Amino acid sequence: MRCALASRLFVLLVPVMVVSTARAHGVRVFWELKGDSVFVHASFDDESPMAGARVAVFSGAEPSEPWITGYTDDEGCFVFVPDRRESSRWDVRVRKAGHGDIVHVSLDAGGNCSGGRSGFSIPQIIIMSACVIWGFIGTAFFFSARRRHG
Amino acid sequence: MDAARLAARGLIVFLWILVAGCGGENDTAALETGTLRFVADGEDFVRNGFTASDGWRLTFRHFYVTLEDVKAYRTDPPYDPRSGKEIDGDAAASLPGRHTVDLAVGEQPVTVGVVGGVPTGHYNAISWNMVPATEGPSKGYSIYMDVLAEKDGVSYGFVLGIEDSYRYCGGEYVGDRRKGFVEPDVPGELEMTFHVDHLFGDGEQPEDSEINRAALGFGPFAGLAAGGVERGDLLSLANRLSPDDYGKLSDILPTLGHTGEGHCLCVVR
Repeated sequence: MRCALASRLFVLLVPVMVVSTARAHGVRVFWELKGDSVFVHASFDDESPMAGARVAVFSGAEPSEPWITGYTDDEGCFVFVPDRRESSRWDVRVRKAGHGDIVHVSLDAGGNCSGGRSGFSIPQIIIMSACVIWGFIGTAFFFSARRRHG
Repeated sequence: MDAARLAARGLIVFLWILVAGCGGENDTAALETGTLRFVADGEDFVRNGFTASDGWRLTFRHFYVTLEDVKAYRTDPPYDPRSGKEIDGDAAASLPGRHTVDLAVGEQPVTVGVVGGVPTGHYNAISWNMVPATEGPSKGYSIYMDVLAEKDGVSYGFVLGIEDSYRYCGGEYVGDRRKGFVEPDVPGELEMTFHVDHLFGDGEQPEDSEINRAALGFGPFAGLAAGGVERGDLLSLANRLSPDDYGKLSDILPTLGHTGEGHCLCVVR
């Protein structure tokens, strides 16, 4: 029911909401980020849902092995909650009866220093760096104060 | 004053570790190389034969394709053939030469060539040209299929040669497993897949399925055969097929090339 509603929303709001689309010989796969969840909707070219299609989700940290697998429901929907700590980039493969495609999900537009494999975004790195720097400063002041008063 | 100096030293050490850590991984990745294998696949349709949408049982004695200028890319963002544009960026791996392979032989995809010393990473885009062979049985044709067709006790031999050239640009391979990962000790593989069911249809699919509605079937070719072995190429078929059937054939041929189930941008040359 929830997915059916999402499916209708996809149809109604595709022009303004769809983040990414893919199509390969009669297959259309859309994804949308809602809160922490990624909603994937797959249909054939005639708009009939790809019900029972095989789905494999790959993390950017381990792109060659599926992070999770499953099947679309009767409405052609599949929902998963990616682990943002693992990667900000996810690939979703949907296949049925010789038709299929892969869509690429980006949880944020930020990059990072290790080419997408560490799973840390730039804001995360900045915050972590600030914490470490603050630790150095605090430690230095602690020993300085001890020396002064000792 | 001592505290500030100590903090500054600690900060310098931390930043050096941070920068060295980031740069070090990239530098190492840039230096690492591996091997990439290019394969071509006509799937079980070509290897084992199949029943066309109009009931003709097709067995391929040969199915030659000639490929050249085969290149692999690591694209970010991933290349999307729906963009209607060629793959942006320099190829990280190129297979030199012109290669004719028979997709009807063996039980596995056919190796077109192997390239060593390519940078490691995920090769998620591929381009190739399908061009007329310059020698061998398929000389003059980019696609050359020798097929035995049988239905209701009647059998025809039909040899179809396609003299046009096609350029394909495809994104990531879509199939049972992901392909294109090159590691120092693990060779990567990229596949050029040819969907012959787009041309003849698939008798195992419903008659009104998308694949069968768009396919030509074998009937139009059977109508040309007076017995024995019939031969045809695009030039001759333009006059022998009905305008509708010839138009359909021309529309279908560019759609044969795929990357697994992933479609390609195709330019007819």
